Parts: sequence; structure tokens; C-alpha cells
Amino acid sequence: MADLGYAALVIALAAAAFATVAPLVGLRWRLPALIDSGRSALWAAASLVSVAGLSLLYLLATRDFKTQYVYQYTSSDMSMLYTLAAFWAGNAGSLLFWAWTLGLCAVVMLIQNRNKNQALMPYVTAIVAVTMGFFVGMMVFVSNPFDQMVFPQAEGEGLNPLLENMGMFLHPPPQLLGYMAFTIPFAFAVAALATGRLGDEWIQSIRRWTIFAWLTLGVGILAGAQWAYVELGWGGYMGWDPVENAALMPWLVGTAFLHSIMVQRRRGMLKVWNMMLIIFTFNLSILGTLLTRSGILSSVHSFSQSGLGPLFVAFIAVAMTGSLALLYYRMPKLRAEHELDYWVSRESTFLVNNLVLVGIAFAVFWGTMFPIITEAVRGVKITVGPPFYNQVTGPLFLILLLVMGICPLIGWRHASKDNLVRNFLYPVAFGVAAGIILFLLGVRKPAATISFAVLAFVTAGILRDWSRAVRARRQMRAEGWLRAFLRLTGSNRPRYGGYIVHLSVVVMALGITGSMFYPLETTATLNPGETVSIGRYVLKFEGASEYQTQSKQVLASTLTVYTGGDYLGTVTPERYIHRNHDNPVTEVAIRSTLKEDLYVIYGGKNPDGTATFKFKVNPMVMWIWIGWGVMLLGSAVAFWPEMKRWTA
Amino acid sequence: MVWLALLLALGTVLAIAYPLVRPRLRAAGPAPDPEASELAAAKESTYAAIKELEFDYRAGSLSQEDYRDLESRYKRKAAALLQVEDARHSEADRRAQIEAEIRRLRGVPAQPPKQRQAAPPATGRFCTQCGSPSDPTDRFCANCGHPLSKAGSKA
Repeated sequence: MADLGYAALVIALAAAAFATVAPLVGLRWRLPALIDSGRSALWAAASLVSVAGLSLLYLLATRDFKTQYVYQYTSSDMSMLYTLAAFWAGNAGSLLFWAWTLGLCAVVMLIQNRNKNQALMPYVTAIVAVTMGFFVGMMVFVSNPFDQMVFPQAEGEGLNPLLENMGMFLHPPPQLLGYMAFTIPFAFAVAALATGRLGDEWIQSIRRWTIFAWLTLGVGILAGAQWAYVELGWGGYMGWDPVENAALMPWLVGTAFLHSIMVQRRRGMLKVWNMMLIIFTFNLSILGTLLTRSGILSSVHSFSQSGLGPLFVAFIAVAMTGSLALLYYRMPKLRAEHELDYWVSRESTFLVNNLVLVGIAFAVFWGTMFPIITEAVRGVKITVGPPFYNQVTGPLFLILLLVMGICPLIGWRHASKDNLVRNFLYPVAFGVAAGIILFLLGVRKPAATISFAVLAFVTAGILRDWSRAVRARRQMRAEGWLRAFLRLTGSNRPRYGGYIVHLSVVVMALGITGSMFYPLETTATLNPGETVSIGRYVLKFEGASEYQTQSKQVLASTLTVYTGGDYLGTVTPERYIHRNHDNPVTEVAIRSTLKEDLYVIYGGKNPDGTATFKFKVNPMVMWIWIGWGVMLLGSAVAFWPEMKRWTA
Repeated sequence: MVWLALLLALGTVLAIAYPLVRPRLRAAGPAPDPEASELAAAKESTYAAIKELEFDYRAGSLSQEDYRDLESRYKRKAAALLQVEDARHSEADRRAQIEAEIRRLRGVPAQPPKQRQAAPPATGRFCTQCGSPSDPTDRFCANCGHPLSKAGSKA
């Protein structure tokens, strides 16, 4: 089976190479048959990569330890689900996962466009094929998932215990898929540049692809945050780790792109900017795959290192120079149809939103690359930590939130004075009132109070715009409130899906602000029976125990939790020492409520019978995960195909 | 296993080669016209923009003056796109006529030229508020902004 998988990869590489060259040659020599043949070759490459993917799944499922990859990442005591999830635990498997998901995206794209975009498709096929060929080539020549063991073993090494968590299913697959899905919008952008067909056509073809890529990447990032929160035991959800940053950068620039294409569709502006954004989004995605898999930067994700780096850098260099050169060549054709008429207009809020998003992405890029840069310049790796990121990006995120609230309240082109007064009065009043009330209630850190006030303003703005639209619709066609609301939302899904996503951002920002500004933390060494208090909680250490399971030794502790004399329940933070891995793993105990999370980390038992604990109270963290759900809902609304009727 | 791999290779070669050797059946229909799809895309965005403008205006985030101005710009754009489309159609009709003529001269039985559906004649519609004439597709009076009922406020 391993041989079959490898053979499929080799043939897929040949097919992808053909699919890259054939459409371009077919265009040049006017041979439509060759273009069709290139398309079939891309189909073939996608199918062959699927054969390779299924082969690896089969090898994992049958626990074929003769295959090196299976040996390295699984063992017989692992449950079947995690054994299969080892598919994306290492380098070679991740490469295969990328190639496979890109193949699936390619197939969907080919089916969607079998009778559409005939002029663009040859280029789109070639770009997707060359990207796929790159990943397949890496497997064929550098990091083969089907390599066989020189000395076959009877038992595998097993998965890194940190990876044995539900997060393994929720975090890597969408994130890796998100990176790949940005290839399709990029391919269309390059095709638009190459053909000079720079109108609305390519933008319409990729709108939903962009939402899809943005959503999957976003879901992956948040799942990673949640996983880090429950598993890594540092008490936070975002450590500004290089690999987290690697995903954040294309996501931020992709967010900017998603917004600025609206300006292009409505007003014919920002065409060059949009091209830049999608070119950078794609290249940052590839950089993301590089950072995830190369081990260039040390990270919580450095599960393995490899020599893939230089090849990735070469690919990015070629993709970047090629697409930017093409953009430069087409510059004269990308002139804006309209100028920015007035500074106070919806266009300019989009512009600010874009600049801020790109600014944040740049700050993150700078911080992430800083160790590499300092090493190159001064020979010392200097790493920048979370304080840098929080200080630089915090205010920018706040501006972003503010703009998010302002945008729907301003009309396109020009906002008149009465329009401004009329639209802003209530939301601003609501925001200010919220700020004052919170201040009176004791929320007195300036940044936190401002942040909460801005969030109140944004919410009021969105709800006001929405309710006025519902009212307008009711006036136009005598409908009930609920019916008008649903019909309205259905009639412009991209817009109202976007509003739901904005609300989800508000909900997440609530959680982030609360947990950033008002966390409590204490460390205690306790004898059994002793208590410690943190915030409104009193915890009593009941005792510790130790036991063995098949794969690990478990050090468990039990604490009872009280608040104001009332018994709330028990928590059992644990530590695992795995048979195959040296580092102990903390199993954090978390008691979540909407108000706050009680977070207990067990440090272990001391020789004198005491036990060490770290206690944290993280306010409002639950809201981040609720926001995540709302974001999924909003994106689904925006993603849902629009009906082809304009009579709504 | 070797046989399976060979089979995969063979299947791939066949799949890639098939489009090269199959007879090109272009008679099944005219090749989709790339210009037409670009026009359609531009039309769609323009219509969507008009629709959203109307909504922004109704919801109060656009002043009446700006709404008028922007709407007339987009309508002009839509009209221009429709004109281009018409010009392309009549160009296509002319070509079809020439083709038919050539066939006639060569003695091939003539095919009836493709007839395009003529647009229904505009119904005389007038605004109930100010009485100025309006287009059958208009939803608001271009003169005074009064909403026009669907059935048509025929005079």
C-alpha cells in the first residue's frame, strides 16, 4: 500500500506538471484541446493525491509500523480516531494533507467553472496545478510520507501526548485547509492580471471562496486558542507564538481583502490595492505552511524539524515576484473608476479598516520575523514576547472595532451633517452611557473602559442599522416584524451575514478585554485540608493520588470549591507522565461560567507531602468561545449562495 | 501492487489524452462567450449596487441628494452596459445574416436567422405624485422620488 501511495504521488507530480504547462501552451498556440487536456490533468492529479491520501489513512488504520511515518506518530495503544488524526501530526503527512485538500478545492473549482470564466480558466488551472505540484514535489523528493523503516519495529513511538485532545480534530484540519483555500482566489487574481480582464468577473467568482478560506482559517485559529487554553496550562489562549502568528497574518490580510473587494464592486476603487492584498494573503499562507513545518522559529508547535525551508522560501520568492511583476505590468489598466469624493464616507471607513488590518499584520510579521532578522544582522536571536504584541496591536484592534461600528452608519460617497447627527446620536449616547455606568461600577482601567464603551457603541450601531432596515422593509411591503427581519436578511446575505460576524467579533472582544485586563492569579503550596482564596472563590485541598494507566502515570489532586460559604463542586487538576515522552503534561481543571473561569494547574507533590498549585480567575473567557459560534453562523449566512433574483 | 501503480499511470495518461483525441464537438452549442460573462458580471454588480443604495436610502444612511446622484450614476452605468449588450447582439444578428447569405450563395439551404426576442414595448407609466413619465422597471419616480407601485401607476 505504501508503494501504491508513493507511485500515486509520482504520477500526480507528472500530471500536475502537465496541468501547469498544457493550458498555457494551449493558449499560446490556440489549441483548445490542449487546454481541456490540462484541465483533465488537474482532475487526474487531484484524484491521484486522493489515492495517496487514502493509502496513508489505510496504513495508519492498519498500524503498519513498517512505514516510518506510522511508526513515528502512532502506537497500538492509541484509539483509532487519534491514530487517523496522526495523518496531520508530522511534516510529511501535513504536506499530503495540504496537497489533498488543495486537490479537493481544485475539483470543486473545476466543476463550478466548467462552463464559466473560459478566458480565465487556463491560467487558474495552471496556478492551482503549480501550487499542488510544489507540495507533491516536496513529498516525492524531500519528505515522503511513505518512506519505509530500515529496521522494522513491532511498536510505534506514539503521538505527542499534547496532541491527544479534541483540539487535534478542530484546530489543524481547518487551519491547514484555510491556507490552501486561499490558493483559489489568488489563482483567479493572477488569471485576471494575465488576461487583463480586471472587471467584476473574477471578484464575483472568488467572493465565496474567499469567505470559505477566511472562515476555515479563522475557525482553525480560534480552535487553536481554545486548545492552548485547556491543554498547555499557561492560562492564556493566545501566546503570540510564531505558528499562531503565521496563521493570523494571512487571516488579517484576507480580512482586509474581503472588505476592500466590496469597495471595488460598489465604487470601482482600490483595484491595485485588492490585487496586492490577495497576492500577500496567498504568500503569507504559504509562509504560514513554511513556519508551521520548517522549525525555523521555535514554537510550541515544533513537533518536528526538517529541511523544507529553502524550498518554501524559493516558492514564495517566485510567486511573489511573478505576481507583483504582472501587477506592475497591468497597472495602467487598474485605474480607479471613481475618486474618493469625500473623506467622511463609507469608502474611507473601509480604507481605514484596511490600513489598520494591514498594519496589525505588519506588526505581527515584524515581531515574528524579528528573531530571524536579528540573527542575520547581529548574530543573536532576539525574541519579542507577548507584551510587544499586546502594546502594538491592542490600540490598533480598538481602532478597528471603532471603524467597524462607524462603517454601517455612514453612507457611500458622502455623509451629510444631518445624516451623521441622526445616525450617530443613539449609538454614541449608548456607548458613552455604557462607559459611564461601567466606570461607576468599578471598571476603571482606562483602556478597558474605553474598549467596553466602544463595544457598546458598535453593537448599538449594528442593531440600529438593522432595525431601521427592517422598519423600511415593513413600510415597503406590509410584513410582520419577524418575517420582515428574515426576508431582509435573506435578501442581502453577504451584508447581514457580515453584520452577524461583526457582532461575533464584539462578543469575542468582550471576552478578550475582560480576560486581559482583569485576571487574578496566585500560587500556593498547600497541605491536605488547607484552603486558599482567589477572587470570590475559596478552594480546599482534599488530597493527591497517583495511579498508572496503560500509557501513562497520572498524578491527580482534588480540591473542593466554595464561594461565600456555598459548596460549588470539586475540581481535579492532574499531571500526566507518558511512557514515551519525557515532559509531563498538565491537565488543567477549569470551572467555566459566563462571568469567569476558575483555572487550576497542579504543579505536583513535594517531598514533604504538600502540593503546589497555580490558581487563576480569567473573567469572561467563555464569551470568546460563544463569539466563535456566532462567527460560524454569520459566515454561513454570508456564504450561502445568493438566489438569482433581483425582485426581493 | 506494481500492477495497480501501472493501472493508475495508464488511467492518468488516458484521462489526459482523451481531450486531445476526441472529435471536437463544437456543434453542440456555441462556445460560451467570455465577453458576455464579463458583461453579465458587471451588470450584476451594478444591479446589486442600485439595490443596496435604495436600501441605504430607505434606512436613512444616505441623504436624498446623494441617493439621487449615486443612483443616477449607477443607472447610467447599467444603461451603458445594456447598450453594449444590445450592440453586441445586433452585431451577432448581422453576422448571422451574412452567414445565411453566404450559405444561400453557396446553395446550402438557408436556415432561418435566429430571432432575438424583442423587448416588450414600454408601458406608459406615470408617477401618481408629480405626473412625470417613468420607466416600467423603475421603483421610484426619477423626478420626485415617490415610490411607484408594482402594478404600475398607469395614468
